[in-house]
Order: sequence, then structure tokens, then C-alpha cells
Amino acid sequence: MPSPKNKTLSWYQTTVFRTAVVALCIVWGGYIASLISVRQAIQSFSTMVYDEELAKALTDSLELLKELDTAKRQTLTFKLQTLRREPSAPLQVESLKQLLEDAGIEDIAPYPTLAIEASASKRRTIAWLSRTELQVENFLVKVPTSDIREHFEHLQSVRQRYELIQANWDKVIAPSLLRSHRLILLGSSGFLGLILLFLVRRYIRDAQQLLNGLRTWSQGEAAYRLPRTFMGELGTFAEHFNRMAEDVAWNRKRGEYLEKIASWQTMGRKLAHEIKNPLTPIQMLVSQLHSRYQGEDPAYQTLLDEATRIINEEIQALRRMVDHFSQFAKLPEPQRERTDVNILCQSVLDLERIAYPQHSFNLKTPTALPAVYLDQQLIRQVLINLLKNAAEANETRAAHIHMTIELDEANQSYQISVEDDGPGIAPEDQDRIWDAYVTSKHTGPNPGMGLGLAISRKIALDHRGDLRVSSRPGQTKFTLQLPFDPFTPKA
Amino acid sequence: MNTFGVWLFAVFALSMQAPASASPLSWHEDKGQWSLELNLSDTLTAQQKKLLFSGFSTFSHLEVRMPEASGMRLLFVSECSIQYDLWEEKFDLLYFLEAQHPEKLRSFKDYSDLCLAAALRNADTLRALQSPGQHLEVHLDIAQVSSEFAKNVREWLIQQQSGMMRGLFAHMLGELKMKESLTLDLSLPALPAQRGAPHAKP
Repeated sequence: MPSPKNKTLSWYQTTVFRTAVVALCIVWGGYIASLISVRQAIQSFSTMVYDEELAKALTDSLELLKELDTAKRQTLTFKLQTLRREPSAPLQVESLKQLLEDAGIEDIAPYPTLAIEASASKRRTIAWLSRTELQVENFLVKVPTSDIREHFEHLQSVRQRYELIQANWDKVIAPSLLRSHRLILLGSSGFLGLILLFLVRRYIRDAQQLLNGLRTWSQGEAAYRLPRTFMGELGTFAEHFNRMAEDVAWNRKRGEYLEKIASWQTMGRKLAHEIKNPLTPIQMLVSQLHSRYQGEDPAYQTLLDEATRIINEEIQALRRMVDHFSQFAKLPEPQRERTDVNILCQSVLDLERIAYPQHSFNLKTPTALPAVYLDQQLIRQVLINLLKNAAEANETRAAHIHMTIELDEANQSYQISVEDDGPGIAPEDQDRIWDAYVTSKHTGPNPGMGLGLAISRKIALDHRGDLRVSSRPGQTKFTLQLPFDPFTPKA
Repeated sequence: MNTFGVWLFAVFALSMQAPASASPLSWHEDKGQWSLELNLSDTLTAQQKKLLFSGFSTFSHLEVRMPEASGMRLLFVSECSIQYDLWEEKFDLLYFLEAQHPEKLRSFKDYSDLCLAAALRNADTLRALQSPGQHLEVHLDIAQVSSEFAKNVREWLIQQQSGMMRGLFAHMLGELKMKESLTLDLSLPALPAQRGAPHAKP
């Protein structure tokens, strides 16, 4: 039986493939149905394409137009013959014009379009020689094509078109229509099918890639992240997965760090206990030794005074160290209260301006900030520590220290950053600065215990936030991230 | 069905049959010279007649062939292009294979005598035609040749389509043409028993 770890996604198992198959069936079903309906429509036209009644009506109309034209011409000749029943004198051009006008030639053609010439015929009759030539006694009148003739030719053209379509419908036109529709349907169906195929192939490829990515991550490659090339819901899924992987990595890192801090705290607590206990007896004994000496050797007295002073100073230093260890070992749980971060940062900056007047401090903040639940004392301690570090890293020069508060809407958190223009932190030290008992301030009136940043980061993590650093020569930036709602897991 | 019924049906069926048309072939004698004459004016199909009187320019091609041992022997061929003027009710001869100058035709008879008729006068041919079982194959094509008009109608049909269909339909649609062919296999009529008939006069 194959292990679930080795199970691969088969293309035919994907829902999208099955959906595509159904869609293709629908598309091709539509194609066939459309083709059948087009064929039936064309076949139904075949019976309609030649209408006997319409053909007869067209023929009758042509005949009627001819008869109308003939009737008009006959009426004209009849009128002309009536008017010339008793000719008094041979016709002249002027009298012919009057005669034609009286007989109503305008019914056939406009008078100005007529052409009159002498007839070559010896016969003196009034008759139509053709449809465009009228003999009136000794004259030949050429009558141009009438309106009726134009109507006739138009109607004849319609009939010819009708006959041509009817004659070619079954063998030429209908098959061409059917072939064209078939090609269009085939083309559109094929195009849709290809698009579907392309989409399905891409989806299955992406799903397979996604599955491989999940497998890689689950097999221990915690740093593996899905690429940002996925589209649609797979893209959203990949984005959520990456966020989840980031959270898992962050929580793991946080857990490891907190464990480390806890062990350092235990060590600090023991160290404080072991050191603190003998300090008081040592100090009392030294004091007794100093006070009981009654000798008159001035050199010895001087040595004793100097030794007593040094021992007391070292005891004070040890006490201070013990206090630091104790404080580190007894870091309290955050007591959250509604806090205006703007006011908190402003008050811390005011304090530091007094403590380090040689440096310039400024605050950049948005106008409106939502309140956040945090432990004011602990966060104040963090901010003071960061500002103090920035100031003390620039003891030999006047530094510009900027505190910036930003809203990170995407992560639902504040970003409070402290930035200075000092020499920066060496790259190899940037990972070590969070460890306890690591310090660069070994000399001076207040040598460091190497606990400040460890405490600060512990406080940040206890607030479900984080403390990060980025540094290069001329710019060091510590960023404290605090979520709006500390009880909500980090997005 | 009783016998009377069957007879009644047979009589009715026979009475409904179209009368047999006269053969388009006939023998003629002119000054002792015999000829076999063919006229297809009464044999045209309805579609062919319609085509001739449609007003389109119409082309006719008439062929008369006789079967021989070596194949079909062409005896006669005639080609005409005419256009019937529906307004003037006359035929215009546009082209005639055997004439240099088109003639004026006034009636359908003029047209059929010129374009749908054939006369076989060659004595050898006539003699060969009288051999037993001999027959003639007559083929007549009548086609509309108003290509400009057909092109216009084709364009009109294409314009009726829309969108993508128009281009495709234009590509698919063939030439619009009206054409009707007629092929007749004619048996020769009996030769009138007269003197000087071709079989008697080698």
C-alpha cells in the first residue's frame, strides 16, 4: 500500500478537469444542437424560397405594366386620330406639338424629351412603329423610355434575382450557408475547447506544483516558500500557506529564544544568589579590618584606606551586577493597559533629551493612532534602552536620533523604530546582540551587563511582538513591533 | 378488390398519362435531296423554357452524336447566345457559332429554328443512320450567362449575412448560375416510302 506521502495528484482526479469535461460536453452538445437547428432552418427556407404565388404575382405585375403602357399608347393614338379626323392642312412642327399636347402626350413622356423628325415612310398614318417610335402622318416622333418601362425593368430585375436564388438554393446557396455555419460553430467550439484545455492544464500543473511544495515543506524544509507565480485561488492559497509557514517559523524562533532567555534567567538568578550572599560579610569584615587598625605606620594606613575603598567599590559593582541579574531573572509578566503610544514615546524622548543633551532627538508620528493594550512600564523600559544604546553608541559626537511610529495595517501592528546615524553594528555581531551577557561596553563608569537588548526582546516577545535590527555604517535601526491586540496571534 | 375495380383503376391510370410528344426528328425531302431534321423546340424542359424567357443572357449548346464502333461521332454542333426582351417580346441574338453577324430574331420559332434545330444532309451519314438499331444522342445545354447580374445577386446575398458569417459565406458561396441540360436518345423515325430515299440512292 503506497504511503500517503508519495501519493501524487492525477490529472483526472482534479475537480477542474471533471468540470472541464462537463463544460466540453456542454459546448459540443451545443455545437451539435446548433448545427441541427441551422440545418433545419435552412431546410425550412428551401420550401419557402420559391413561392408560387409570389412568382405569379411578379409575372402578373409585369404583364399589367406592359398592358398599362399599351393602353396609354393606344389611347394616345386614338386621341390623335380623333383630332385629325378631318385634316385641313398638312401638319407642321408647331401644329404637331399642339396636337400632341392636346392628345395628352404628357401621360407617356414629358414633352421636352420628345424628338421630332420627318418620317421616311410614304404612308400618312397615325400609329406606333415601336414602343419608342410614333408616326404622326408626315412626322416621326421619338418617345423616350417611359416611367412604366423603368418600373417594368426594376420588377423584372427582382424577378430574375428571385429566380436565380431559387435555381441555386439547393445546390449552391443552402450548402454554402450550412458549411459556413458549420465552420463557425466548429471554430468557436474548438477555440473554447482549446481555452478550456489550456486552463485545465495550467491549473493541474499549478496544483501539482503546490502539492510538491507542501510536501517539501512538511518533510522538514522549513525555509521553503511557495512561489508567487500562482494565479487565482491557488495564488491566494499559496499566499496563506507562506504566511502560515512564516508564522510557524517565527513561533519556533520565538520559542527557542524564550527558552534560551529562560535558561539565562535561571543562571542569572543562581549567580545573583551566589554572589549576593557573601557580599555583606565581606563588606563588614573589610570595614572591621579598617576600623580596628590602631597602628601608626602611615604607609600601611594609606594602603589599608586604598584597599578598603577599592573593595567597597568592587562590592558596589558586584551589588549592581547582582541587581541587574535579579532584575533580568525576575522579569514580570506584562500587565496590559490601554495606552496611547504617542504619549508614551513622547515622554520617553523628553527624558532622554535631558539625559543626553548633546544629541538631538525627534519623533515622527501619524496624527491619529488607535490605542493599544500593553504594559507601559515594560515598553517604556524597552524604549529607554533603545534610545540609551543609540546615545551611548555616539559618545564622541552629536548624533541625530529619530524615533518613528508607523501603522502596519497589513500586520495589524505598530512599528516603533529608533534610528541613529552612528557607526553601526558589525554584521557578524547583529545576530549575537540579542544574547544575554554579550556587550560592547566593557569600560567606562557604567560598563554594560549585556542584558539590555535581551530584556527588551523578551518584553517584545511577551507582548506577542518582536524586536528587530538592521544596521550599516551610518545607520542603525531598531524596530519594535507591537500588535494592536496582543491577545490575537500575530497575523 | 374485385376485377371490375382493377379494370377501372387501369383505365383511369392510362387516361392520366401524358400524351406521347411528337418525335423531334423528321425526314424531309427537298428537290430529291433527303435530310434528317431535328428541332427541340417542343422537347425543351420547363426549366429550359423558363430560362430562355427569363430575360437573362442565355447560352445554348446543341450537340448531335451517333454511336460508332470507335465511339461517339459528332454529327452536328450549334451554339447561340440570346437575350429575350420581355418588354419588346422579342429575342436578341448575341452570338451564333455559324454566323459572323448576329441576326434579329422576332419570335421563339425564329430562335428555335436557328439555335435548337439541326439538319443532317450528308448521304453517308444518313445511310449509316438507317442501319438496324441505330439511334442519335442529342445533348442540349441551356445556361444563363449574365455574369454581371449573377455577381450582383451574389454580392446581395453576401451582404444579407452579418459579422464573421459574411466573409466565410463569401468564401464558401460558389458561382450562381442557372443551367439545365437535356440529353435525348432518339430512335430514327421510319423513312417515308418515297423515291430517292437515301437507302435507295447510294
